[in-house]
Amino acid sequence: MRRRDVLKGVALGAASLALPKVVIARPASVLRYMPGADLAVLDPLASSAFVTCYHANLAFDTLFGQDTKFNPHPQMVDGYVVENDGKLWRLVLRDGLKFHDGEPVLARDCVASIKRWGQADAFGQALMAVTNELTAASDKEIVFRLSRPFPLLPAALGKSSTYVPVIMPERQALQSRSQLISDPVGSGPYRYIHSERVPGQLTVYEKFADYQPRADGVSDFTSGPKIAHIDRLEWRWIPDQSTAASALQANEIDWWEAPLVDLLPLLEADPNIVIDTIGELGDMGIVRFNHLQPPFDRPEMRRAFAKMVSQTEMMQAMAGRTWDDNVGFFTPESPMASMEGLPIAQSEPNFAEIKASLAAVGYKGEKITVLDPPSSYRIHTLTSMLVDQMKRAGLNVDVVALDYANWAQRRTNRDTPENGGWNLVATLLPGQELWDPAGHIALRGNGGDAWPGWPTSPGLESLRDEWLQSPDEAARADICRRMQLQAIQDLPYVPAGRWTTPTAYRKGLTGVSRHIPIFYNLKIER
Amino acid sequence: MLHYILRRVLSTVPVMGIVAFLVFSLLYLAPGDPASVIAGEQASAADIERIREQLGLDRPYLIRFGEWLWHIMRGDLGVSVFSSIPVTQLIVQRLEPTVSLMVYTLILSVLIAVPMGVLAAWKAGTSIDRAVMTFAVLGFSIPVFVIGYLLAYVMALKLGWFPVQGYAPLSSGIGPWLRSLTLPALALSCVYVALIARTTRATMLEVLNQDYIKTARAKGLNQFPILFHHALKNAAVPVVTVIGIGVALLIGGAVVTESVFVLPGLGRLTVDAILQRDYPVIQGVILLFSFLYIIINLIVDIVYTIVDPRIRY
Amino acid sequence: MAAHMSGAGHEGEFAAAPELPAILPPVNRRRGLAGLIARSPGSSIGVAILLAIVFMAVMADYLSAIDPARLSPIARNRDPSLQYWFGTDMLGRDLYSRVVYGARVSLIVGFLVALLSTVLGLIVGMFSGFVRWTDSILMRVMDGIMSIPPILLAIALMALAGSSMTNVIAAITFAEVPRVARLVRGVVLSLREQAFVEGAITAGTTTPMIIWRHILPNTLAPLSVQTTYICASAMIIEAVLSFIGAGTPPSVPSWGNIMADGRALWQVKPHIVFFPAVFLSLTVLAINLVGDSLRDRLDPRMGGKG
Repeated sequence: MRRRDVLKGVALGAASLALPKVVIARPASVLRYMPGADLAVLDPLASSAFVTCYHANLAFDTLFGQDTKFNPHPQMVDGYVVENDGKLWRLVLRDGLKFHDGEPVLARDCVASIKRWGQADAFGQALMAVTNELTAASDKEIVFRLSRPFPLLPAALGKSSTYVPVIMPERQALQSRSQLISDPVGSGPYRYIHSERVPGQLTVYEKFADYQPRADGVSDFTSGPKIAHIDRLEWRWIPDQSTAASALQANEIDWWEAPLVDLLPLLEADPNIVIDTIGELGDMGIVRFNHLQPPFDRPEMRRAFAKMVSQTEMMQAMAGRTWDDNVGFFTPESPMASMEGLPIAQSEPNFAEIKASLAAVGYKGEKITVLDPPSSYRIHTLTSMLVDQMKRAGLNVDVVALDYANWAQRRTNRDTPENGGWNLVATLLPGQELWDPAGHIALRGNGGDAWPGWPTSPGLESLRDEWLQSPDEAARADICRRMQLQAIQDLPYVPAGRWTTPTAYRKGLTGVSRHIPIFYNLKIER
Repeated sequence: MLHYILRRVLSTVPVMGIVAFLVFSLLYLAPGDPASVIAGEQASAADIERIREQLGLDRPYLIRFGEWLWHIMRGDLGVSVFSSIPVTQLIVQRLEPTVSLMVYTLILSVLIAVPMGVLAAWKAGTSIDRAVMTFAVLGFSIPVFVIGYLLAYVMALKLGWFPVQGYAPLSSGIGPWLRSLTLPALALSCVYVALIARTTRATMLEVLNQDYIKTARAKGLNQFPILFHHALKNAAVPVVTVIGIGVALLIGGAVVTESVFVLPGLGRLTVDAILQRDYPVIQGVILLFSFLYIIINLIVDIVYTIVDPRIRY
Repeated sequence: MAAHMSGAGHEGEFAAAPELPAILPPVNRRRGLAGLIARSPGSSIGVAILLAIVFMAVMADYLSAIDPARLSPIARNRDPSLQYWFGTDMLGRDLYSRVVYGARVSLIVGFLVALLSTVLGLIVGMFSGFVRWTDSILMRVMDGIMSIPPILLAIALMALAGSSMTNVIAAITFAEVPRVARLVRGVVLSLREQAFVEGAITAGTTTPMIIWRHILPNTLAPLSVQTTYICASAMIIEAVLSFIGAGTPPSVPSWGNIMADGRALWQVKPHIVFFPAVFLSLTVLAINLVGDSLRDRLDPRMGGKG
């Protein structure tokens, strides 16, 4: 680094320290929000962390939006036509779209953005697999030429869960995907302020004056007019739960996304705090096998094991605001969910019987390596309960405690446990992503390309293809019933229950969205 | 003397080299790299490998070490893997809270501890002495995060005297700045008060036992001038030494305190970076801390030689 | 916590500072603990607490009826009661059993770190003090290790090695050795200047003999004090490491882990942090009390006072 750069760094640092004061014209309204995790990565396609997904929905805009029931509606798109038996899609952008750097949003920006997203996202990959050609016919018109119909195209381009199909300027979208975008430029109602970013501490967004909300439709979740009522959003990361609770009580933050359930009595006692379960779909527990290593490379071993995973116990330990046991492979509220083949395990399993059936399928006391990240409270709780159950079933458990970084890395190691691999992990995915097979990464059976665990299940894969091409919901629901039965046979993972985590904010905040925190259409009064 | 000082200064160079080598190797050997943290929960192995390549994490050890060393010599600590912000800038961003906390803690500690130590020595063997020493031992024995939570619970949450967490920069005014730092400084100072009070007491006792002071006391000369002019002056060197060493080691204690009170300081930066495996940041900050420590150590060593020529190296 | 170590380190600086009287009085090694207790109430209290904790650690199997690792999800976060003396934690584990078993972890970590770092530090320090050409190399390496804040060094080492009790002990020992080494070297250097050692050297006494007769006995005083402080400090560092999430594996019921588990609920269930904190503080306090009275007795400069 040259000396000038150092000086520049100093000046920048000083400026950002001084800013809270300089901006004395404390804008009329500020929202201080504490996310459930630190926003470490700003590139919406580089991290599947939930907090990055919220950031993507906030700082960027998408071609389609979703209502609360996940139905797609045009957002940046003015309208679209489908021709040639569903194989030609023409999407026309609406007027007045602008990026935060002042440049207009053009069709070629969208094309580059979709292509970038299509590499990262499972739903996007499915779309790209049938896309022969994706081009900008003019500044306003995006054209998809498909090899076969893809009726879910608006749903894909309007998803609000990981990875969000955000629209970014072409120059950023064309960057190699491994080149992290650290100063993202979006076109949504809020603009990310790079100069005020303090990693691990503070991320700031300000109302984007040039944003033009849709003129038509109803504001609902990410669809309809997105109106920025609050001038400035400060995402403050507080690493300690107890401190965060104090901060909310002391009016030092306005909104705490994911308070620990056990702290709720404290917050409920405060008349100025509202407890609101916005994520009604909650999170779903997942006990994932490594399908490449014995003993769980054999389906009969997985089936014998699955009888042991009492969702009731798992959920009692997790102690969500509300919880459900006896859930299947899809989010219970989804039309795709069914009770087909359930329950997989009893709520009070007979461990003596399970011991016998494990022995019957050839378990001889081999060591089973379970990875545990104690710093990650929810995963650790699921893991601890699982290990307790395994011990009762007489399994030889080896718990490897790792920090989150190590856990995340070791989970991708396909080797034997002795060589740094693993046999079992417990984890969770949001109910929103297990809504249907499109985004359900844990239900893939594409072997080595699948989410760590690498299950191979031609049955699940062909059902998924069939689902993606089905024209109507009834047919799709039927396919999902068959998928569930197939999954109970192949067991890519064992469902471990579903629970919800409420959110807590100070009175005066209104218009809080369902599912995930959305910051437009939100109002604050003090 | 000059020759010694020069040699001593030069000798810090290999120490810095050893630290650089240690820090780099440690992280090189550590399992778990930033690629998997960046990629997140749903990433596939290919995603992670792609990021690894991009970050250059797949290149050989010596090349990476050499390159890294070459860059630091030119004052370039690299760029954070996560935020793509230069490490120097991150450090500058985080410097103010940490330095403020350390200076405040130190002043607070000295103001509380030195009178305590003097008093204890003067009243050696009495119940006052015992009370001071009991407090000192307690200060050593109670973990700083327990003290921190206790203080936050009582003085911030129940009494509302101080903010529960967060940092108000100096630019927002002396008042808010002091208010935001008082609780963390109090928590952190407990252990330093204990340390400095004990040192003060011990050295004071020693000085008070010397003949000229004994004589002065026997003659019934006014006690306070004796105490402050003669005794404290003589006891100053060890006390200053312990304060000097304390500065460097305050950094370690600051990590926990910054975590509890959510101060955006260097300690938090380091812990976050270690948990995220943000190599350039970890390396930069640890190197900076070590550099500080070495410089302070150097000064203390030189002061020793000047004060007491009996030490030969 | 580093502060605590700086306390320990600082003692080292002191011993190295040339404040030693011209002729050191012979140290009577036979005085021992028993003598101390009779004369010093502080150390009696310390020893009594310590013995109680050691008893608890040894008899843990008999003192608690509930498996400290057994989860009981329907009995989460119970307040202290007749069934659960200290209540339960977030996973419904019995806190009393965990605290009782936790004594083992703290004591093992404390004592082993103290022992290992003393032995290693003694070796390095002696080498440095006697084999002069190794001095600058050894001391630069020691300076290098010492110049990294011990907590950060330990966290980094833990990240490298993975969480296990052995690694915790190794990491803390690694951070503590330089302090002992510097202390020992300091004592050796000042003693070499003393007339009786110079006399012995002139008389042709072999180096091992000098070490055995003159150096070791005089090192013992500051060293035993230092060792107790290291023991206390190691216990606190273990707790801090666990508190940050880089300590003993969570399956091990160490006091640090129990506190880490309970820290999020500090405001609603303070007893989860309170019980292990009290036991940890008491144990550290006991060791510090013993260390202090050891120092008062053994350090000639402190003679008679306090």
